[in-house]
Amino acid sequence: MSNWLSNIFDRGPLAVAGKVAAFAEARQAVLADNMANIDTPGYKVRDLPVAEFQKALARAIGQARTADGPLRFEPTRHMAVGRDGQLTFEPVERQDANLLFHDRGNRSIEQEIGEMVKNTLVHRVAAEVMRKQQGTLEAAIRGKF
Amino acid sequence: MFGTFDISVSGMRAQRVRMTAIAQNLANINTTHNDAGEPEAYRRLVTIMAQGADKAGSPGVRVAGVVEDPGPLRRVNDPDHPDAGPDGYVSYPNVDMVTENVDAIEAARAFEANVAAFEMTKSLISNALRILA
Repeated sequence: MSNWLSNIFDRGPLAVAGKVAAFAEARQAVLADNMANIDTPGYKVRDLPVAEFQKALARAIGQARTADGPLRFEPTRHMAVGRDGQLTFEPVERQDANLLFHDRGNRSIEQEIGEMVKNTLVHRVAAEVMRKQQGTLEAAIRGKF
Repeated sequence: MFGTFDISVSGMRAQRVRMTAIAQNLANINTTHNDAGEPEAYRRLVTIMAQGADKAGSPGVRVAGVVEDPGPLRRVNDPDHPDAGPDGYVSYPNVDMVTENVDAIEAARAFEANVAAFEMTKSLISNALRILA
């Protein structure tokens, strides 16, 4: 990709929002899995490592800013970085639930719904940021607002 | 901001656990035998709630325990009943249907209140998002 174009897509708000949206999408699948298994005996509720991703994102943003380069992630314990910068996450067992059933399961439909709503809101914020950026870009291409 | 969701979720969970205990009480309103089949009247379950969703000090609520109500059992004079004692009285569970029904309505309303608070938080954040969009 030519230099000026990669400047727009590989750094700045578009790149950050893209990663956040990708994480939210991957997490939504895990949360849906929890909901589907709400009555599965022995099932342990899983989640993506949210805090770990946020920390990695903060570090990547900080590094991109100081180096004035593209947004680049470093792999963490539950997050792998592909050659093209694609992030893959490994689901972890969620520990925070206080309710235990006889099979030591910690499922709660309310909690899954709550997490899903939060996740959806995060995704919406990321999508809105991307939409806004796209609008700015289009305006720049057309040369008028 | 997102922590507000967790508070409402902990409220919903606690009320659902309470509802489960109430349903168990109503189902066992005439139970005179225990798990092992020995004559022992069922005792009403009471849900104890504590502050803090995960541990003390965190916001929200948690179920600290579901314990048996030690209150007096309902004694009915029925000498021919197989579970009657030497005095001819049968001990029935200390479950009162009216109390349980009132509790059930209250639990359902409390659950609804938490759902309402949850939705309000959601619309609050959605409204904030409108500034961006």
